[in-house]
Parts: sequence; structure tokens; C-alpha cells
Amino acid sequence: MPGWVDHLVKEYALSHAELIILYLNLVLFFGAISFVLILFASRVTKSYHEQRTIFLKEKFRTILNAIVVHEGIKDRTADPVMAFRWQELKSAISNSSVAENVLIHQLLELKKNLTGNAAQILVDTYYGLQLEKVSLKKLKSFPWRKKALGIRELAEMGHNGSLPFISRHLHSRILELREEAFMGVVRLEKERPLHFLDQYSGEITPWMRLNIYNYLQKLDPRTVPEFSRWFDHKSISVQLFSLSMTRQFRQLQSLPKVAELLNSTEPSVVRLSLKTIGELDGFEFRAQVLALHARALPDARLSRRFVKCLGMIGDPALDSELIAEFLTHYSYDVKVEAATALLRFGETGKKILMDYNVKQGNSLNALITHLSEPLLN
Amino acid sequence: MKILVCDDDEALVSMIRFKLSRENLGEVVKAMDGREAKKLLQENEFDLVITDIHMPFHSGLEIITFIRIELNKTMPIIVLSAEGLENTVLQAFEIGANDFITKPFSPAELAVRVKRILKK
Repeated sequence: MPGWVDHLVKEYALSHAELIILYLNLVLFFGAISFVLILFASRVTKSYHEQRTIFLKEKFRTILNAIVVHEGIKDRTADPVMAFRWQELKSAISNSSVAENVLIHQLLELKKNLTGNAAQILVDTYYGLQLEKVSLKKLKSFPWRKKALGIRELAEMGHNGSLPFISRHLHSRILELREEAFMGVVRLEKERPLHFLDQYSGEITPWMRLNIYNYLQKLDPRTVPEFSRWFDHKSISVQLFSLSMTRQFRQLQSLPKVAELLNSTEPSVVRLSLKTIGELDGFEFRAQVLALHARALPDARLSRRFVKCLGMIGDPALDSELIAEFLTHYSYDVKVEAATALLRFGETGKKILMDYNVKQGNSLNALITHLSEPLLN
Repeated sequence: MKILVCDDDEALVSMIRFKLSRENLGEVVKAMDGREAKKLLQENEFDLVITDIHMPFHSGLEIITFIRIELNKTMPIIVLSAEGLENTVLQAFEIGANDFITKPFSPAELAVRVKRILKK
């Protein structure tokens, strides 16, 4: 027992229970003080880091702007201005991992909006300062977020050497990491983007679809693959992705193969095939679409696509009656689609819609009024 | 010459500002969102406006409409956007944009276009 406690016990004649309470109070008191101190220290540290990050961002931005305007320089590694700027950046980094990461972030932020020499000069700066080592280290780290960040950095900077390491994460259990790896491989496989899909068995998420589309759009159209090569892929997700890309890149030469997919046993593939045929104006595949009539009728989602597709590629004189059948469908969405398709057919379709409405005791009045809203057209 | 650059991407605005100032194209003023852009446009006279399409509070298209209809000004407007969709481009030109640059872009090309548009 410390001397001062012993003194207290004797001075105030404290009982054993009182002593325990005293001890507990002391522990709580010092615990609370320590907690407040830790909280305060963490706030100070956080604020310091934020301030430092802002300072570094500003500093790097100024230097990077000065680098970017030298986009006309041919041999960057031998240029004294570039050497000076890189030295400036090196001194600013001074082996600080925070500074390295801020700089990489700034490089990526700026590069995403630039093209040509200006973008290349930023890539050269990344390699000139050996920042790829920082990104590679992230790739080998344990937390998946760090790995994903490393993948993004290396892919954006076109580090082909990391392709085998990135490919390993294509089948990761963590969706975000898988998505990042997928995009990384797409970006790094410049000559044959997406050829790895041949062996890919995972899911292609809407995020991946969107990003791949955005990426491929910026490429030379000659390097965009013909997506029909994956129409018979074992993964439904890949099949759907290929169909979606065929439509978005308007690969009209693939339409006969799209029409074959109308016989697929997978409803989602059939629906997307109908959408593709409709949007790519596949008039010559009207007969194959019509063959789906019986299969479509009991399925609301398929009916909707069927009617919409027929409204786009159908013959007003021959198909209006068939579409009108769907005006009594149990699903309201299908009725709306059927009415829209008939209105798209012009006068012929409109007349059939109006006659049908009269026959049905004007039960479609609300729907027709709804479709006549000028803002909907 | 006074140029207004409206974009919510700070790194990009800073780079454009640096590039245009370096080319001696005049004073470059930045607006980080649509609201700030409108305020600056009301209070200042600009010789050129460079605007992004997607911005907080007011889009680039709204800014063009604001300049052409509400302020009734004829200064040239360059639209700078990642969205190269045909409809957006056409809409921008229809409501009064003078030029459209799709991101990613080359700063040198932007400077040339700004020079050319200011000469007119």
C-alpha cells in the first residue's frame, strides 16, 4: 500500500469497504483523465494530418500544374526543367508515406481529366519518382481496401508488370476487390481488352458494366471486341454483359446471333435479346420475335419486353392486333407498354387502341390520358 | 480579358487557371459550383466562360441559360464535360454554347480553342 494511502487510512480511520471505494474512485478518475487526454491527442493528430494533407495537396498541385504545362517536351527524362520539378517533388515527399499517397492521389485526380502528352507527363512523373513501388506495396498488403487502391493506381498508370498479381484477385470473395481487379485487367490488357472473359466465371456487376463501357468508349473502336463471341459463355452474367455491350456499341453484325439467343432457356437472356433487337432496329428478325408470343404471354416481364420490341420492329398493319391482345394483360406495366407500342405505330395503331378501348367499355381511358401527357413524350 | 472557369474539380480548375494564365490569356476566376458561378456572373463582367455540365446546385446547362436568357449576355461559352453524349452536346449548342470539349482533354488544345474564340 502506498504511503499516502496508509496515512489516509490511519488519519480518517477508513474501513476496508471505504478503502475499496476510494481505490475505485481513483481508478475511474485517472481512467477518465487518460480517456480525455487520448481523445484530445487523437483530435490533435487528426487535425495535424488533415492540415498536412491540405498543405501537401496545395504544394503538389502547384508543382504538377507546372509539370503539365510542359506537355510539349519530347525527352522528359533528360529535360532540366522536368528534372528540377521531380527533384522538388522528391524533396516534398521526403520518404513520408502520407506525402507519397497524397501525391499519387493528386496525380490520378489530374490525369483522369487529361489526355495525350499532358496525361503521359503525369504517368512519367509517377514512374520517375518510383511511386509504382508504393502502389505495389499496397497490392501486397493485407487490408482489401488498400489492395483495391493499389490495383486502381497501377491500372491507371498502365503498370503491365502487375497484371499477374491483379488477375489473382479476379475471383476474390470480396466484391469490391473483384470489381477493382476486373477493371484493372480491362485497363491493362490494352491490345485485347476483355479476352480474359473466356475463362471468367464470376459475376459482372452493374458497376463493372458501367465502368467497362465508359472505358471502352474512349478506346480506338477497332480494339473493341465483338461481344457475340461470349454469347454462349457458361456464365449467364457474361452472356448478359455481352448482350448489353452489343447493344451499347451498336454491333449490328451480331444481330443474327442475338436472334438465336431468343431460344435461350434463361428468361433474362431472352429479355435482353429482345431489348437488343428492338434498339438495334432488327426488323429482319420480326418472325423470330413473333415466335415468342406464346412463351411471353404468361410472364409479365417477358411480355413487356416482347411488346416493346414488337412496337419497335413490328409491322403496324400486321402486328397491331397481336399487340392489342396485351391490353388486357394482368400486369399494368404490360398494358402500358402495349398502348405505347400501338401509339408508336402511328394512325393504324392509334385506331386499334381507341377501338379496343371502346370495346372494353372505355376501361383504358386513364392509361391513354396518362400516355398523352406531353412530358412523357 | 477576364475568364470564368466553373467546375467542382479543384485539381482541374487549378490546372486550367495555371495554363490560361501562363498563356497570358487574362485573369482567370474560378467558381466551384453553380451557385458561386451565378453570383460571380451577376457581379462581374467576363469575356469568356468555361463551364462543366455536372456541378452542385446548378448544372452547366442552367448556367448557359442563365447567361443567355436572364443576363442577356453574348460572351462566348465553352462547355467542358465528361459527358460526350450527342443529346447533351446538341442541347448545349442549342441553348447558346459556342464550343464543347470532352473530358479527358489536352490543356494545349483548350488553350488554342480559348485563343481562337477570344480572337473572334
